[in-house]
Amino acid sequence: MSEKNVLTGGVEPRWSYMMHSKCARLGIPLAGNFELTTRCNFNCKMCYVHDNGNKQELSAREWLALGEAAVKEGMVFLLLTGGEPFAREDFWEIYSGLRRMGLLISINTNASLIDNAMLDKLVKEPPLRMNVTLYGASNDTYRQLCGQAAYHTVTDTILRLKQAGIQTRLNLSVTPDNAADVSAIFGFARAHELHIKASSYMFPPVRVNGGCYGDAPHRFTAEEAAAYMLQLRRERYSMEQLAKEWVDKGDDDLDCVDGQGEHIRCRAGKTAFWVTWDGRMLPCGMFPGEGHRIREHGFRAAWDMVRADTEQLRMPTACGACTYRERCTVCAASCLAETGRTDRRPEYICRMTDAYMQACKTWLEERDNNEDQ
Amino acid sequence: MKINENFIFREVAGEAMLIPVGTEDICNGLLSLSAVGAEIWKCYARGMDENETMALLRENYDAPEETLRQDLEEFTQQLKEYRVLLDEETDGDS
Repeated sequence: MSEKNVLTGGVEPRWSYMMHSKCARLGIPLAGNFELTTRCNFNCKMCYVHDNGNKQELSAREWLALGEAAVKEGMVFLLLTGGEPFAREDFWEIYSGLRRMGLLISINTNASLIDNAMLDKLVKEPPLRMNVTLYGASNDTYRQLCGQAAYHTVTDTILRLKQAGIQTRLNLSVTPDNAADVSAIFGFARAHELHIKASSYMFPPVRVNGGCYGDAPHRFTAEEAAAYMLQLRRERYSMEQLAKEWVDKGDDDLDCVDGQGEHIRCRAGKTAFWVTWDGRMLPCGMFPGEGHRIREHGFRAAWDMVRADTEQLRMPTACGACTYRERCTVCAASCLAETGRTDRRPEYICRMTDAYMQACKTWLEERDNNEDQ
Repeated sequence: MKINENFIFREVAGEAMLIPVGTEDICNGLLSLSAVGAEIWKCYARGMDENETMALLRENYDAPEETLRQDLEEFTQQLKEYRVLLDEETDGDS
């Protein structure tokens, strides 16, 4: 009669998939993302949101009211993110109040502001998961990328979180400034049995660059990003697993697929939503755009409008017919950030995926040749 | 026996769940309940004891008495293990 602790074991268990699938059909906003602040004590070069300006963030009371409204509509999963959520002086008031509503809360953090007192509080009222971004494997890299020599503080906190029994996952954004540390970061994760979610693709930060679509000065070239994408996968998987994935997904020519642009494939605007620091609802945080103001419309109406917007979105026609569509990381938000439209072919991502596929082929051929010798 | 108020019962999209919200929980995920489990929980939340709950299950489910009783006992035991149900004598006011 009970399936017990269904969310404590895996990263994305079947129960969660089942719920997202049901809620998508019913139009229920199952998963929320609250961007509590754009403030951060780090100053990462590639950040898409960081801004320490004196802006009018939603108050703790407003976040709690928003949480109540979202729970009433069915929200179960909530990600608290920023900026750096712990930079808010009233973080605990917001977190604790939201948790008491019956929510499963994850927190995105750089882990540099979690002192012993905060750790004790987290132990007493544990989140579902802490997602800690690990930016490098040394103080030098942290200083270079984030402007703060915080490596030891961060890794100490990660280990204390783990020791305290709080489920912790590492996030890794690979950029030219920390690329040399990738192997060491994975080594740290393996040594401490921590899962890593990593990417070498960086969205153009159009929310903070004045709306310059496709402009991302602190990221790799598409070809470099592809090379690191393969390295990230090789760090995570064995050669056998990678080769099997290649075979299982096939390499069919899908040029005969109907040329209509496809609906978006992710959960954004179907079961998931994002609320910006100033109370605008978007399908996801990577969507540049105004969104819908919750103060003005109320939660339910804003959600209905986000759903309707999402329903209208189409991906590029070329993506539906692309040979690599099953292996490509393209999404509506990345098309938008790269080109200003969701239905326009994102040249950078096409080049990155093409280079990634070529790199995989080369790697597999070398592996086969070595086996033959 | 009483319910632990540090768990919140929620129903979303027809799925029932218990989510820990307190400071002395033994899990930080959720307990997913079947339809029967949810019905039993609601009985306990209304203050019914095991016998009263059993009587209600007998009315609502066309299953052998022994099967129903065994399911109820197992589920009740699970709830106690997860401290969703508390023994008033041993758990005090927690």
